[in-house]
Amino acid sequence: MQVVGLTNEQEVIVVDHVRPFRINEYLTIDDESLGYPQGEVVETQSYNRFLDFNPDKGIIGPEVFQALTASTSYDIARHNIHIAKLRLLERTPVPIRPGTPVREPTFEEVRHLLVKGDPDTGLVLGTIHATDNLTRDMPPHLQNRVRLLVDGRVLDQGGVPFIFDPRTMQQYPHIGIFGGSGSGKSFGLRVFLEELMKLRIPTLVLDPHYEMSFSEVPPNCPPGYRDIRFEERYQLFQVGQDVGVDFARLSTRDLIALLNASAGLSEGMTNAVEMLHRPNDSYITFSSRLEQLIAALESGDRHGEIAGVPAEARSIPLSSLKGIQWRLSRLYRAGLFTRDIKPIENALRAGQLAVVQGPIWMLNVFAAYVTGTFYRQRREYKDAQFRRETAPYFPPFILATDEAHNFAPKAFDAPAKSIIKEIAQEGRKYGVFLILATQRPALLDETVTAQLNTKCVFRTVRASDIETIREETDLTQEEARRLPYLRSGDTFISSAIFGRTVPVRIRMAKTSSPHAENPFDELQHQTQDTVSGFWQVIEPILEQYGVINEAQLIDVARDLARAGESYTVEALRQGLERLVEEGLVTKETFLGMSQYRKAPANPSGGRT
Amino acid sequence: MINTWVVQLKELNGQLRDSFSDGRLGDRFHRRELLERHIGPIRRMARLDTAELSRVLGGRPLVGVDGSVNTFGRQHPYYVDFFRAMAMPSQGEPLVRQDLYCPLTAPETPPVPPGAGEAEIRQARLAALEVEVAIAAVEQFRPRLLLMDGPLVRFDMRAQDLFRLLREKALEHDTLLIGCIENIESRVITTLLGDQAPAGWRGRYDRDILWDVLDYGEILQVNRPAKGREGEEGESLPHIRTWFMQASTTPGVVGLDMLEEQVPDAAGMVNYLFSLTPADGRGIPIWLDLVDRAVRLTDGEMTAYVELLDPAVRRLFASKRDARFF
Repeated sequence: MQVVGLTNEQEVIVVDHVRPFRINEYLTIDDESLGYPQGEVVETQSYNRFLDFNPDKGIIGPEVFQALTASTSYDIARHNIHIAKLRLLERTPVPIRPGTPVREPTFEEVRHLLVKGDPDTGLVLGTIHATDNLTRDMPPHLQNRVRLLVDGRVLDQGGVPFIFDPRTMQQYPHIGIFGGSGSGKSFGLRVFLEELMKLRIPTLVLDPHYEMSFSEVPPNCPPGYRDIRFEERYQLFQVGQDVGVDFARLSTRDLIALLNASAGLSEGMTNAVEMLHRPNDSYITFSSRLEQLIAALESGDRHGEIAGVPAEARSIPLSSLKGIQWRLSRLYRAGLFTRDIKPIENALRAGQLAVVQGPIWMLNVFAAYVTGTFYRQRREYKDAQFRRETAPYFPPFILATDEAHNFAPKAFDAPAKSIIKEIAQEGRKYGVFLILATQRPALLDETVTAQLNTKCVFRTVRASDIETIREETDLTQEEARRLPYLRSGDTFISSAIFGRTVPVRIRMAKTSSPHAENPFDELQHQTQDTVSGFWQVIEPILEQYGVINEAQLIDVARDLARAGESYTVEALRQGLERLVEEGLVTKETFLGMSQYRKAPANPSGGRT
Repeated sequence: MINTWVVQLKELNGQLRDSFSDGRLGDRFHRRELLERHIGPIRRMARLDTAELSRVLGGRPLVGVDGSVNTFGRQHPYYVDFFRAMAMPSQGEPLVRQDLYCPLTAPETPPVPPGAGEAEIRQARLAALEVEVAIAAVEQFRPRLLLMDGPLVRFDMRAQDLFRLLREKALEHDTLLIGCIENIESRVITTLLGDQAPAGWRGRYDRDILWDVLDYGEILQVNRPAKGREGEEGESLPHIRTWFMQASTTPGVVGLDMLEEQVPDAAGMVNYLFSLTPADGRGIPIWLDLVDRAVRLTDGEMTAYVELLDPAVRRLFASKRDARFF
């Protein structure tokens, strides 16, 4: 390998006769006077001057070179030239000397570029692309940390592990995970969360897709790979069922936000809530106050005393009050006010992952409330510390969510948006960090996007999203061009910590999503269950009758009804026809009437 | 202005059409019949299969020989010729011979016919260098097959002594020597036919007579050497046989020159040569294309060497032509 052509301080062309180059691999320019500059291959080509393409000239058919090789063992491939554009990681003071030899680096030479954390205290997320030639002299504690899943096959680490040290978030806070559906984005988020569980970092996960459970083992998980009992490190909470909002602790602002999320509040309604809500109101006190006021206004009583209702509240239009009542009862019916967030707090305090599930509208409201509450507690603790006062301890924590553009959308408001923005801007001071995954980075609030110091970019097809990603990361033009064609699970990690974009294959997850079953497979299984269920019912009857003809179906239905199985004659006929298709029952016609009998046992055909 | 070219080209067109017409040369069928009756069989070649290919050279290498010349300076005698000849074996490193010639310092010329021009002198030097490297290749590589670019007859004419030596060595070491000719300038057919040649063929080149006669994959195996190849003083020259093959789909045959003694060997090698020839190309075996590419002396390479001359000396070769504005 050597440098050829016109060089400069930043980019050189490297050629070799034998060894093809791989995109993203690291190479060392063997020039001691420049301190052995390192570079990354950003473009690759191969060429053979005897296999040139010129549409005006003919092409040499493969049979000719095959004849040459077969008779003389001369291989035209010896004229192959492999070409790489190498981008230097640091500018050199003078252009690289053409003709300088180039070689593969040793691991130690590139260690500082690739490994920014310890695998035991950092998040081990995957393997850095095109680093397999560096593993020969890689220290053992970096070997075999991850497995890869490629096209359904489990592969070894095959390169340098990508390690994200969460400590660096104090300087470079927040992580974004971008990618379209099927890009591996959700898997990426899952792997992040598994690693956070490994380190017992308190994490609050908003899960609108009901997919973030960690108890199941992936189908082809190699033995020993799942080295952590994840089921003990996370807890699942359903909003309205396991957790809810403690109404008494709601501020008026929170209550307005909640009602607004239930369904948009008019200005009149907002004013009304401000007038009617009292600190420490319970759901009962507030709702009955509202009810009494409505009853009074409906009965035309404009002067009677109602506890806690100021006189001016009587001028509130009835429709506004009824609107509030409707919204309030929607939240109540969803169970929001019957529980509190104490279980989540306990999980975080225990260093666990708290996964909160619920429909997206409710999750949004609840996220605003729960995140706001915890963030405030953490802030109060830290502020007290700064002031050398004492306040109850609350741990630092991470807020992670998929579909982040729903929680902090660009251009319009959402209940959780302001708290997410606040954490994005101020969170690192208090040790509160965000992991925001979305398939539409272009729709994510810009202030928030700008604060994501580490971005994992998976396959992205939409031009507007690619544009946003280009603006917000240091992805090069070539890398951006590759975005629509990335394999699922391949990602560019653009991080201020690394100072450049690192291409990574996300590791195989150690857990799997509960609804991995394809709905169409599910349908088929369901049908199979129905068929085999009917077979179990009808088989003894067939044994008993020997032959069932159509006229007897009514008797069969009656017999079955006595045994507690209810079938109509038509259902029986359809069921039998289905069993005929399956080869379990034979059908013949006798005197114009169908008759069914059990098929003779046949080991090769039919279902078992 | 009257564009006389238009008139002249129309006239030329008519003359050529007439000259190559069936009426003049005979139709394709008759030409083939006449050739097969008097000159030799037309055979169909076939590509060898892998097993045949692995045996065809008997484990010995294939060598291709080619030369290249480039000239620095334009005006006689203010120029330097750079010669390079290469024998490229299918295994091992190529042999290379280089030479320089500048008429200013070496007025003596190699033995060429009196009155030969500058170009002929240059070709003679190159031919000598090519034959020299071919001899070395036969001795060093002992190839089964040595392909040269150009008619053997011409090497014999331009570098007689060396070529005789090459012939001896090739026979001694059982190296089949074949010259591949893409631009045939010979009149083998009319020479052989003598008085029997039809009137329309008299004085015509082989290339004309064979135009559009052979199908792709056919070879005309001329069955005897051309007569009348005596030297100036009547001494007999080595007999050389020329066959004509159509190994590409572009029109026009290529010639294969071989030593008379090796004709039986060559008959067994034509299918191999055909196998090595791309259907789309110029119709000669690919190996010679590879040698051609390897030996070619580019202007850039030559200029780099010329830098070794002192600037003052280099200026001797500058031509006023290069100082033209347009």
